Amino acid sequence: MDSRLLATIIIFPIWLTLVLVFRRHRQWLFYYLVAAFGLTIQLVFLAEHFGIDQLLVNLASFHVNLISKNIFHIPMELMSNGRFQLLLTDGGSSILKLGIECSAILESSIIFSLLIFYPLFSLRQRILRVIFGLVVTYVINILRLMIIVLMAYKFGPDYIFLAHAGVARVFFFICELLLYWYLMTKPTVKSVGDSISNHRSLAQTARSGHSLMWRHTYAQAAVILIFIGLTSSSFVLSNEWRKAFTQFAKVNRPIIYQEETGIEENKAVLGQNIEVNPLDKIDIKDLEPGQEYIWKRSFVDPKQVNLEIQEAREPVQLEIYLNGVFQNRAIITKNELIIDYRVFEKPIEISEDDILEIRVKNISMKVSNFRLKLEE
Amino acid sequence: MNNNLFMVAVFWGVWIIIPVLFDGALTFIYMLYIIFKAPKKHHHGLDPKLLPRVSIIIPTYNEQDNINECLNYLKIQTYPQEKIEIIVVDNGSTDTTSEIVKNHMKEIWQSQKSQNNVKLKVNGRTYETNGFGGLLKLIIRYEKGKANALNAGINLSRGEIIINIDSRSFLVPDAIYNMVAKFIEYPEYGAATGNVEVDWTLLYERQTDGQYILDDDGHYVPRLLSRKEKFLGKSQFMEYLTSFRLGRQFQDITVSMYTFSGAFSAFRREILMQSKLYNSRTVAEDTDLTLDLQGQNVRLGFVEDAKAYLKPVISFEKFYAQRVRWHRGQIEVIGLHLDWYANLSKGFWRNIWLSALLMIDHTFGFPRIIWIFLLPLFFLFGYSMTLILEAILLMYVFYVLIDLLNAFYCFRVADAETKAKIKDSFQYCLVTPIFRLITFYFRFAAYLEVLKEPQAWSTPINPVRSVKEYRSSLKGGYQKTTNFGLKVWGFISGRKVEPAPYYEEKIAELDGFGLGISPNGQDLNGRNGTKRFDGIFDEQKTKERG
Repeated sequence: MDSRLLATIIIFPIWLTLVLVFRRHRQWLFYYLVAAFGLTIQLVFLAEHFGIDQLLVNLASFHVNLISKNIFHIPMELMSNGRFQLLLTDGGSSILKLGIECSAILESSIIFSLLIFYPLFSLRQRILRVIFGLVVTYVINILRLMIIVLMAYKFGPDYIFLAHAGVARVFFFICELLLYWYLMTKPTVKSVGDSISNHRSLAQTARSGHSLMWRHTYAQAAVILIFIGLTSSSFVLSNEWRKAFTQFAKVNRPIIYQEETGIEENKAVLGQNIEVNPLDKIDIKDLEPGQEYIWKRSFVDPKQVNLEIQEAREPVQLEIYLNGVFQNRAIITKNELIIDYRVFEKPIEISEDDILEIRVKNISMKVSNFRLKLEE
Repeated sequence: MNNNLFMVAVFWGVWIIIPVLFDGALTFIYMLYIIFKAPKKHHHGLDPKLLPRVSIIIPTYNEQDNINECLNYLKIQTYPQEKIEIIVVDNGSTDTTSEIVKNHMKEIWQSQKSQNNVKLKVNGRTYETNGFGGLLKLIIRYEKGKANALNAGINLSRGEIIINIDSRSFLVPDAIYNMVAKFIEYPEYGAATGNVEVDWTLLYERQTDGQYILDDDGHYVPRLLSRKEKFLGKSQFMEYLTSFRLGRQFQDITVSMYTFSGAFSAFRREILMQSKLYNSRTVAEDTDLTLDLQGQNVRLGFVEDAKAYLKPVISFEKFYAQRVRWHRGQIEVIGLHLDWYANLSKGFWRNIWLSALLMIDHTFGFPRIIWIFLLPLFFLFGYSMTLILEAILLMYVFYVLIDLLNAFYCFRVADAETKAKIKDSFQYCLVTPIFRLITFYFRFAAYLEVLKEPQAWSTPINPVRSVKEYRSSLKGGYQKTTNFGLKVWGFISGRKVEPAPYYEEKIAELDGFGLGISPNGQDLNGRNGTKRFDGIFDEQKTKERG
């Protein structure tokens, strides 16, 4: 059994008991803390177990691709499993892979737990606000990813980190804060003020919807409906979602994906790995964080070669140079075990007497090992 | 930039730098504002004949420990004494508060030398309390409520400047003079708050009957503080230092005063009479009045050199009750002033700063309570443990640096006595991040209690007290078990064994002004059920019906 699921099964009864005990004894701080935090952890675990985070990543990559292509006209190719290839202005291309943290699954779980246990609202209000909060978080996340893509496209791949950690993060943070202000602080303050000035109990005030205002309820419902409408129409209007979701059902399988032929792709993915004799194996050991390893080899005959990561555990940047000229770049920020992963969709074309140079840069924070494979 | 460092920055940028930057940035903004925009200090050459009459109102409830000293400090004021009128409003104390005030009155009336002549040492000078040229009045009311007590005092006062203090705050000798000087020099100010400073040296050693011990010179003997008490006292000192010398000063300059300290605030009479006075609808009547005046666009100020010393709260139980009252009051009061509060069309800058205050306290709190616990669990999401520990360490160091910066700034502007105290509590900057964390959780408890519990001066449900009770019950259980074991042993061995007495820790009742409801839920004003919110007293109600 998956350890995440097992953990959830163990946590759940303990969590529930604690929540009920604290509620019974009116220890609201402990009650809210345990309830919200415990639920967050369980939700994250369950989401990882059932692949909901991957689903969100795929959906986000599909939407980001759709918006970038149709609104900003950025040359971009959607690939499977939350990745897209961005053709850059400097002639190269970058593969951006959305990590699990890009799915905003953590933020969504937190907002879900905080709202569902917040003692102010009635159940109906809670459910509406939770859905509204999740929808807005998703939209904010898409906007955040758009900022990263736009910065990467305009300024080059060096700015991806700055965009991801700086600009986009600040944007996300401010938007989340405004969301919390709208969903928590404003109604709290308003209801408490109303209940005091009208000499009514807070429960009555909150239930009557007087202080929470019907127009906000309508607005929230409208936002939810617009979101559902837009999402479903995006599925109808664009066929690319098939691409985005192909990998969803095939977690933990070797990924060999060929962009051009849809039929072959399915075969490959379903487990019929095409066995190719490796041209060369590159074993890199104890690469320091930030250090670059340069591998060179000359070829006599013209060839088409594929670069594959045989094994890696840490984020890595791969660059291809032919005769010292930059060809292609891939940044893989996945923070988990990668086995037999083809780095570039298109094979590298090598003509006579070419020198192939592969630069491997450890962009993780640990001393790491990478095993690469070069195939014909 | 080194790539490794950059990745580290990425990690911290995501989870830490932004919230921490917010705290740090605010400190810097405060300092820059104060350094470049603070008004010059006023001169001290006022004609004593032109000084206005000042009324000082002290609401009390069971304050026999403090009221004597509080009055002693008022008697040594440098302000012309014939222009001072002290009004003590006693809410029907059950102790000797009114007797002490009456003794003072008698002494003043008969111009006798004080019977328990105490020498007070303030700012390195020793003052002797003997005689008082002003008026001292005592009002005894048999009704609860601090707001009503204050209003009663205000209605009876005759001064042009009305000053409200707590019986636990002790004014330094030139405090009233400096306060009045501000009003004379800056006519645009309608009200001002003093500089309240926590002073743990005001905690004195007491005899078993509650009387203070005097040494040979007639001074009180300072109390030896335990480690916990030092932590609370000195952390509060640093907190008040920042919140007054930086926070209030900044709010004065930006015209966005959020609350006057109930411990020391002053008003022009005509301004106070235009307002709705104190109101008992919330648990924070001082904030209520402040925002009331703020809504009328009255200029509210801060007087740095009008200093009052405050005894720190040195038990977690009372500290919890205090913080819950403050922040419960915060939500209640802001809720009542939403017609202009946080509405940027009604005073943009003022409302930006006031909203930021609420946002930092309340809105930030929600994600933060989860993140604090989530951060150590990040190894589950693939981050290395050392990195997480480094991150936590960095956050801690950053907060310590902020506190050191605050302390350094306050050290530069403070007078000699405060400087000595800052030097004394400098090393407590290392533990103030922990203090901040505790206050954060206590504050958050208030935000939940405001939704679930009825109004009360001292919170009926106090987790600190519950933990104490739980621990004492555990001890009781342990005692019972051992007693049972002893009995069995006695039965087996045939010897008679004396069981140990059953252990039961007595938990002290919290005192306070009350809001018509006593801590145990009885309605003291006979208004049944007016403040009921969530059916907490339902049990009692059904009993009455039955």
